[in-house]
Amino acid sequence: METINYSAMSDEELKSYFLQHREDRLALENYLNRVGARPHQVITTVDDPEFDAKIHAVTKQKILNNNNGKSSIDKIYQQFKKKSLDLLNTPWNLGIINLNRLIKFIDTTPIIYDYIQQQVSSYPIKMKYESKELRKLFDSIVNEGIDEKDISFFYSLAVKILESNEADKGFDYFRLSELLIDVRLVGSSEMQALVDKFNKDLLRPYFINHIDSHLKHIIMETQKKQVNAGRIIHAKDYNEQSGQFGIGQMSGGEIKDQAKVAGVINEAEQRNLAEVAKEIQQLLDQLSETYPTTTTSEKYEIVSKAISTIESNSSLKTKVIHVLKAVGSESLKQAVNHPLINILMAGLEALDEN
Amino acid sequence: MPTDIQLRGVYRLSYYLTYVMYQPIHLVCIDDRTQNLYILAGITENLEFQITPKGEVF
Repeated sequence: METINYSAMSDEELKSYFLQHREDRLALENYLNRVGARPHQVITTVDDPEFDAKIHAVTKQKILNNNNGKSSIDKIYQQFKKKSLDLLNTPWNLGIINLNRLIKFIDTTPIIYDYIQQQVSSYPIKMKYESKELRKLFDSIVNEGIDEKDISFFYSLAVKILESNEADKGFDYFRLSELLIDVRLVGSSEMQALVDKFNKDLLRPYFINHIDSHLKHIIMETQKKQVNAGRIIHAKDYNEQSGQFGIGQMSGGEIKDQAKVAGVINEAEQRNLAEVAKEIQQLLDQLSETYPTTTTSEKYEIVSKAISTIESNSSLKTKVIHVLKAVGSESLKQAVNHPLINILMAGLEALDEN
Repeated sequence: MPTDIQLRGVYRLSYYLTYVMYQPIHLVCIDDRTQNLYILAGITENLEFQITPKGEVF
């Protein structure tokens, strides 16, 4: 059996190794020993009432940096899109099933459910309501023009319909539509036409679209935060920038040495960073396609090839050094989407020393 | 076996990570050497916590 030299692996490599080789207890022990040897500061204690807040203060940045907020909200959004489209395009007799799926999804997705629950209390909708009465209530809500109230109205109505087990399930969604849509306006007595009209004229604009824009808003906020988090740099390094890749004009306010500056990397720097990141990424992609990347030594082989390519390309080398000075290694690391960038970084930082 | 306070801690951390921050948890185990409870989490596997047998979290 091949013996594995754990000490040759970086912390990151060892971590991904033991995650993929759970049977290798030694790898995990080795890693835990390393973690134990790191200096650490106690964040909080288990019974601290401020537990969440203290943990959050320490991990917030890491969480924002690793894009995770984004990918999970993106996933939620995709699922919401799919389930709401299923309902909006539903055959009339499957309406109640699709409604059930959407409401279940909402109830188990805190980011949507909490949003709905924050709104005004639910409406006391009785199924025995005369259609006329319900329409009056609906009209008065719509006239107020408050999104949250619209959502609340439809949510309460949907839950009510799903709870009522008095009627034939196949007809429930049609009955729901019939409550709010005047059959005479449809111009057809067909059930499908009525359900379609209800979905198109009421459910989509007053329920689905509101939640949709709420989710989109959260996605945008998350992206903004991530951009800012990626741009925190030291003002000192920032001011030292010069020459070909200079920072140009900086607008607004005065920045003291060592102060943290968020969100002010100027356009020139961003362009340089993007350009360099792209070149490095292409290089790594190219090399990983040509050579194997399974073992650690193979990875280092590729990284060393990459370094020598950069070294022999003096314009790229200068750019890399400038970008590292301007935005720091962390930003460059994040800008390159390649598993080998972690190993490569040490080499890039060493370029300047020669 | 983890101590009672470690178990409470693991619940609080898991709740925070999964429910509040939508993070996956990859590994929970006890470090035999220190008896600390170790948690590895985060989409990019970059969140690590330890809970000591006395309930300190770092």
